[in-house]
Amino acid sequence: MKQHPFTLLIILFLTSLLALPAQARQIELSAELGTPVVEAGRAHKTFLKISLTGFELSGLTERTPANVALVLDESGSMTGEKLEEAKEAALLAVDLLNEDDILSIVSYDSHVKVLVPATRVADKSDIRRAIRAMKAGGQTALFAGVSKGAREIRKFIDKERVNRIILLSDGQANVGPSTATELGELGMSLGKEGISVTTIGLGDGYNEDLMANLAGYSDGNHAFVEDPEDLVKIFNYEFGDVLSVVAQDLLIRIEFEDGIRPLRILGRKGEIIGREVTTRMNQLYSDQAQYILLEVEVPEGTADQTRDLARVTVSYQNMANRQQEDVRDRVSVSYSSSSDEIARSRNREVVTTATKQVANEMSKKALQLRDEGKREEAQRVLNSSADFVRSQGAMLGGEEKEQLEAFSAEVESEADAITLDEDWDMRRKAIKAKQYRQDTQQTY
Amino acid sequence: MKKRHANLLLLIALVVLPLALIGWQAWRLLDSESDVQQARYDQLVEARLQQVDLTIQRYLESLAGDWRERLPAWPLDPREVRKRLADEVRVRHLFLLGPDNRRLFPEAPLSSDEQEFVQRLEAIWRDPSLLRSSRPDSESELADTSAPALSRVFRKSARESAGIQPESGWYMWHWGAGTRLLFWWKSPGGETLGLALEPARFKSDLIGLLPEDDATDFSIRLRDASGQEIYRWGGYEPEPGEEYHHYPLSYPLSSWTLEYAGTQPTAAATGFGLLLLLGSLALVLIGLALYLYREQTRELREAARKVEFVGQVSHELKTPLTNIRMYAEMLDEQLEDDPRQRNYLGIIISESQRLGRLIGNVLNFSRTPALHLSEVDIDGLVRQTLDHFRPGFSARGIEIHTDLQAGISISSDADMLEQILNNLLSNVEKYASGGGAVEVTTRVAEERLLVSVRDHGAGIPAAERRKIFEPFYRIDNSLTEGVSGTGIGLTIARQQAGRLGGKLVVSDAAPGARFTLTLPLDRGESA
Repeated sequence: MKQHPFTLLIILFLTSLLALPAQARQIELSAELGTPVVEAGRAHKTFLKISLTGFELSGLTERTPANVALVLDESGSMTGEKLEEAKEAALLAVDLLNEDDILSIVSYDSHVKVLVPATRVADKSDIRRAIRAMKAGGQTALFAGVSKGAREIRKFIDKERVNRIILLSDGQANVGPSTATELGELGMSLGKEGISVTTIGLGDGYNEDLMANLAGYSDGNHAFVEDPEDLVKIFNYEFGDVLSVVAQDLLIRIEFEDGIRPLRILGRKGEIIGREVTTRMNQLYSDQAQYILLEVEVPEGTADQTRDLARVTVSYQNMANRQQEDVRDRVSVSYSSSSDEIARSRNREVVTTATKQVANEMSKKALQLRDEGKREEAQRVLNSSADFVRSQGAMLGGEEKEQLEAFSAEVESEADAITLDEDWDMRRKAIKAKQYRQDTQQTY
Repeated sequence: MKKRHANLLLLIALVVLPLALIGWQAWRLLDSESDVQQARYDQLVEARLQQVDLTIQRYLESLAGDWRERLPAWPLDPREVRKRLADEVRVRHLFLLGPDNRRLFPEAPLSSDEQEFVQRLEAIWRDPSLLRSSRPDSESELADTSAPALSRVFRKSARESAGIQPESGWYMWHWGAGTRLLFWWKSPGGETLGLALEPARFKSDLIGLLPEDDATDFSIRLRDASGQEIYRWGGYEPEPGEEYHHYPLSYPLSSWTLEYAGTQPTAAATGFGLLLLLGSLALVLIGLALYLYREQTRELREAARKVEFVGQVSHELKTPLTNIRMYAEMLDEQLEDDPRQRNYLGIIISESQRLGRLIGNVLNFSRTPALHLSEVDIDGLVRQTLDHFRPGFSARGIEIHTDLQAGISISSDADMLEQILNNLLSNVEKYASGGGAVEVTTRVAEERLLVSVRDHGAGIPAAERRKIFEPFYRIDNSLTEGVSGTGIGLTIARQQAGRLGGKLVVSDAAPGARFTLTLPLDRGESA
């Protein structure tokens, strides 16, 4: 059969037109308990997982316009290959953006320079020239660099855009506010405003706590790059992310019923006030699942009783139709005296996720102990974490058992290595980045 | 030679003194100029920093203005207030006090962050009037800044809203090493809302507002209450050890400072002009001095050449004259006793002798003759010299009295001694013939030989006594009128006395003058 290519194109176009309205085009929300059925007659601790799943944006025409500020470190330590790679990556970023997007480029050493003020990406040659002209030298005014980047973002800040600062640094901040706490506070404030900061640490010189905090509190990504060549890969990911955000400014509110006590939020930052838990997410990417994990205490109940546990509301900006939307879900818990039923109803996926998240919390604890010089204690924490993960795997059995056993082995080797001095700087950064990925379910 | 050195020094002084004077004046001028420039610089710095301060004040005012506008619309119940907090990107914490000053928010259950906030602001819960007592409003602060136009605008807007708006203001309190800012607002219903700024965000916003200037002539730093640098701009690199100027910010950030360093004003522009002027003046003066110096040395050289010439000529004259004298004397011996011929011959001889002395003088003056030491019988020498003058003296009616008591011989130059006497006696002959007598004495006293020639003429006025020994000097009076003379006789006589280790002085003898030659008996070594 021979068809004219043009006809084929028209057919494709018409199909896509028909397909568009049919798409769900709303984020999916589901709230699940690790153990939806608990043993009657006593109080329990269980995990509540709230999952958010994005939808697929169809085609490039639908892509959310971006408002990006590239904040590039050009302090003395960037001299040489690092700066060249950073420039290459920035040039790549310029290539990935188009006329609908807004880009600004800020560089900093001891002073801050706005190389390209926020502008539509129309004349790329000027932008490229500004990037190529960067020279390394001086100290690291990281805080000021991010602040100026934020100012550039604000010039065009818009809920209908993806507003993001991408910070690329290899150095410790040493001019201006430079503590992890301060950068975290700045990140939190920017996050509230809808600006997320993605931090990319280069080499082994940077302050990973500071970079992770800045990204974490603003709901951005954080990555540790050992080899400058990885930069291009990360920028590709990062811009892939920026280009495919489907929901922004998500406010997740969980109201627990009387008698239910939220104990802690695992991984994410959030507020627990009485029986109400609120947390935020700056964005959700297309076809990506993000979750919030909580540990809750369920009071004792009688067999066959079912009680409401919580109501979950997520308000967000839908990037497909530019509307403010809400999605809701409810979750309840049942009591039973049959251990069989309890085991059968167990949500294996939630338990696995929760197990990993708990292990992550313990890994953070261990890192803190290691920082305080308590190496043996740190090792003990990791070993008990590995035991915990293995026991959870044994309880679940099946496929999850293998998965968790592998995870447990990983934790064990981490436990073996934590007391050693060799390459600690690099290893610490890798651990920190891994914890960050686990916490934020980052894709890279 | 000494004189030439003196001249040189004089010329140098001629250059250096006016230059030094003008230079000093110029320096003083520059000094005051640099004071003016310093003041101007200080003003510029002040203005720059005030501009920064004003920018920050404006930002605070815009924040306050925004809240004053929006807060009245807030439902003042704890639940709603918490929701609002989520949208206030610049606010970290928030509190709400009821009309009775009871804390409505945050109230238990508290998040851990809120708990800390509540603890830190303990003082406010105890006494909410602290808020008001710190500083009533930012408007009163703006009245303090030295930008009257602007503060008037702000105050006006504040006044306009004063009718509707209840009190509001900034409050600053310490949190750890740093400070935190809080905006409080009192509702018409008596509730108080407090909005504590997110400190990192506040700093970040300030950085956003401040310039990215990389001008190289100044550098400004902003430091917070704990002394931590927040931001710097301006590419000036201070010299090692150069101090930053410190300026505090206005309320409520009075514990923050701005630091300034910059290129100091240089008097380069005017200083260069002055230097140029001084330089050219120095060149002109040096040129003039050099010209004068060359002129003078040229004259000296010319004079020396003239003297040389005269000496040469005199030398040439000496031989023929000697011949004339010798043959005249030979003729005198062989001549018959014809008084008229003898008289003529006598005149020829005496005149040639006079000419000989004259030439001898000139030669002595133009060149320093070598000493020929021998034993000289002083009294004999005096007598012999006097003999030469006898015909001339007797012709002029001058009687010669001698009192020669030296009676010794000394080691000296006979020719020079004779020449000294010749000069003294010829002066008597020329200028003191009116006195009618000359007394020549020799004696020894105090290990010295004294030879004096005293005339009875008009004498020498006291004022002239020094000058008569200077070369070419002739007393200008009736005495010298019509009498020819070179003016070097006494000069030579004194020089020669010096050469012989003695001296020649003149004294008043009333009437007349007395010239006394003093010579050491033991000549010793003399120059």
